[in-house]
Formats: sequence, C-alpha cells, structure tokens
Amino acid sequence: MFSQILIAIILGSIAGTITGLIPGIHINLVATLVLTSSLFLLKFTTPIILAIFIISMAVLHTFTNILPSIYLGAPEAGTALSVLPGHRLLLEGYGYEAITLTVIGSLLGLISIIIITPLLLLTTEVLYSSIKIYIAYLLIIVSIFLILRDPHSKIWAFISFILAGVLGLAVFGLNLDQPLLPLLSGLFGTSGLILSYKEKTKLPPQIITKESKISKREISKSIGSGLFASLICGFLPGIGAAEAAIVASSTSKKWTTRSFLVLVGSIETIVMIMSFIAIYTIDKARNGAVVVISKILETMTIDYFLLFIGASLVVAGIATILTLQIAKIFSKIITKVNYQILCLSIIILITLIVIILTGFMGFIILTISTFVGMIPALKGIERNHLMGCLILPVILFFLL
Amino acid sequence: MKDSTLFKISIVCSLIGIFILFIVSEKLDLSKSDIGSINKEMLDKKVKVKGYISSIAETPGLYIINLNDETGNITAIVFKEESFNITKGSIIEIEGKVVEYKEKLEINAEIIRI
Repeated sequence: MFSQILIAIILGSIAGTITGLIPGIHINLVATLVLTSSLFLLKFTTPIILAIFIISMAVLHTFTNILPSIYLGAPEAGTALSVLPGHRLLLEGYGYEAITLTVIGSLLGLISIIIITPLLLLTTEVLYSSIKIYIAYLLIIVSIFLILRDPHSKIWAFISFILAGVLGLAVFGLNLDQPLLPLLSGLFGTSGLILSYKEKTKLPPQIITKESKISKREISKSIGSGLFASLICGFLPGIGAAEAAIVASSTSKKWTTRSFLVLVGSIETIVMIMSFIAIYTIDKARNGAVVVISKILETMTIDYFLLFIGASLVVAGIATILTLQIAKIFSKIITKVNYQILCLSIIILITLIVIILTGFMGFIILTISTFVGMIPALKGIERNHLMGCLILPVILFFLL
Repeated sequence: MKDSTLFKISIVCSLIGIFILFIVSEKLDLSKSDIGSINKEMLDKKVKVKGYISSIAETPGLYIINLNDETGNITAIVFKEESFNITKGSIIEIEGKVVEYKEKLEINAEIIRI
C-alpha cells in the first residue's frame, strides 16, 4: 500500500502542476474526471489511493496556481488578491521573489494548520453545530464587511457583488455538468487576460533573488493573520481564500507588498487543509475536490485523515521546490516572449477548453462572466466582490 | 528568508509526511486471515482471505462463491460489476467486509485477485 500511496502522490503532484499552471483548468475538473472513471480505476487500486491522488493534486495546486496569477495576471478566485501586489513586483523585476513569498506562506501556513489540527479535531464539531443556524447571517455580515471595506467605490463594489451573485444564481439554475468552469474562468481568468492584453505590458528583465526581503516577524504576522481568518472563514460555505484574505488583511493596517503576498499564499493552502478537517469532523465538503473524495470513500476514518495529512506534508515539500524551479524558468522566458501573444494564446486556450467541456452554453456563460469580471479592474475596486457568484446562491440556499 | 532555508524546511516536511504515511499504511494493510478464524467479533470489519472455490452460483446481479481454505469455508458475495473468469477449483484472494446473513457470516467482496 505504501508504494501505491507514493505513486498516487507523484501522479497527483503532476496533475496539480498542470492544473495550477493552466488558467481555467481547475482541480475540480480533474477530480470529477477521476470520479466518473472511478469504476474503471478501482479495478486497479483502492478508493483511498484515488483520494490521496486528489489530495496531492489539490495541495500542489495551491502552490503552483500563483504562477499564472503573477506572471500572466490570470488568477483564479483564490489567488485574485495576489495579482496586484504580485504584478507590482513583476514590473519591478522581482517576479521570482513574489512567487517565493507566496510559497513561504503556503508552506509555513500548511505546517501551522497541521500543528493545531489536534485542537481543531476536538473543537470543530461543537463550534460548527453552534454556528450552523447562523451561517446565512454570517455570510451576509462578511459580504457587507467586504463591500464597505472597499476603499475605492462601495457602490461599484455592491453592484459587482450583486451582478456576480445573479450570474451565479442563473448559472447554477441551468444544471450544467461543470457550472464553475465557465463562470470562474470568465470572472477571474479571461477578464484579467483581456485587460493585460489591452495594456500592452512590457516586462523588465527579471532578477532571481536568493533571499526574500522580509523579516521573520513579518512572516509570523502574515501566517498568524492567515490562520486566524481561515479559521473564521474556512468552515463557511461559499467563503473562500479571497474573502479570508480580506478578513485577514483587516487585522492590521500595515501590510507591505511582501507580507501581503505571504498572507495570500498561506490562506489558500490553510483553507484547503481545513476542508479536509471539515469533511472528517463535520462531514461537510467545502470544495469540489473534497466532494469527490467524500463520494469515493464510503467512510472517513482517523487513519484516512492521517494519510491525508501525511500526503499533504510530502506534497508541500515537493510543491515548494517545484514551484520555485518553475518560477525560475518563467522569469527567464517571460521577458523573451511576446506578452500580448501569450495572453491571447491563453484566452484562446481557456475558450476552447470551456467549449469542449461545457458546450455552447458554457461559451455564453464565459462571455457574460468575462464582461462582469472586467468591472472591478475598470472601476478600480477589489476583485473579491466577484465571489458574490458563490456567496449569494449560498446565502439564499440557507435562507429559503 | 533565504531560499536554502525554505528548501531545508520543505525537505523536513516531506520526510515527516513520508514517516506518517509509512506508519499508517502499515497499519491499514490487511494481513491475511484464516477463513476459520472469522467470527462475529469481526462483523463490519474488513478482512482478506485466500482460498479455492468449492462452488459458484450466478444470479442476475451477483456471484455467490463458496470459498475454502484448510481452516474452514465461507460464502463470499461478489456484486456483478464485471465478468470474472473464475470456475470451481480456482484459487482467489478476496478483500471485503464481514456481514451476517440469515445468521451466517459472509464476506461482501470489494476486491478480488485471481
């Protein structure tokens, strides 16, 4: 079994690298493919091995998905907040350092959450059952907080939230197989790429630094805030890494570009590990990958949970080295390629993937969500309001 | 923070992970049970047994196999998700859950190795 686990980790790491590097290809898509072919796959292996493959892919994805976010300006929902500070460092020639900072956040965030996991295992069920009935109201409070906190335009923040929310409601009402693919690709992928294409960005030569300019104290503050916000937001459905990052950034007014990148990097990985804790303690799946795991595994035992933690630690080590090596390659080639052609190629790639996997209706959703996704950048507001596409449907689900 | 420090942390992290995986997977690996040792205390628990088929019956939805080893015999239920090339006298290994049916212990087979 041990050798099968190691093979699952390696294959999951390869899959996570691919999903992380290609904007628009989400782990949920691969996890769903695993689920649909599980009858065939289970002839060769066991459910827990398939689950470890998905876990490995999901954890590695939280490390590598920062690469297209920073180098191409094509983020997913969870990395949307890293675009501006990351792009700022990229334009100064410090793209590699920006990636290193998010990797520091991801690795140390993962270690921190695993250290406090025994405490969470003991308290989560009690805490969740006491807040369960208030989830819709908590989501409303968090949403209002996020809108009012926007420093540029609260009205446009509200409009973006509602527009994305209505779009989310409409898309989920269509009963598509992959509703999230065109929706999130448009809101957070193609919209940003079109704007990058229009800006005709010229990148300076990139510097490969061997040391990040951040103090241990700043790292501790970022990880601590990330952990705090993830604990608050991690168990709420629809609330993801982007919202947790906003809540975390409110814990202090003195965020530097570098400490903010550590914070954003930490949160996505912490939220992913918390989703494993949630499925074990309260039997609630908080993301698509964990939904698939819960369908593959009949029951979750403490042994399976420990295997998940072990696999996450192994993958975190692999992901750290892998992400930094890929970042070095990206830093070398990014200034040599035509950035406009690169953006255009990725837009075409995402569009083709959406059409192949979700058909003409998916293409329509992608087009509409791309237009909605451009609003925050054009109005200078924060992109996380677009998460209304998930939050509003969840609020209505709990209220109605 | 230096890149070299980050590499060291990541390697320690991976080694701890491998250690956890090794310990837990050793625990999870089912050791083979003698058919005769399967008793009511093992109800709902997973077992792995190996033996020869003394009889096999086929219904539209499942195979009912009588499996024997030198310690005893037990009925194994195999749900028909695929066709098997097994006949009376074949030696097979089965992993599955111990269940009770009409006051007799059976194994609901999950994995079959021929």
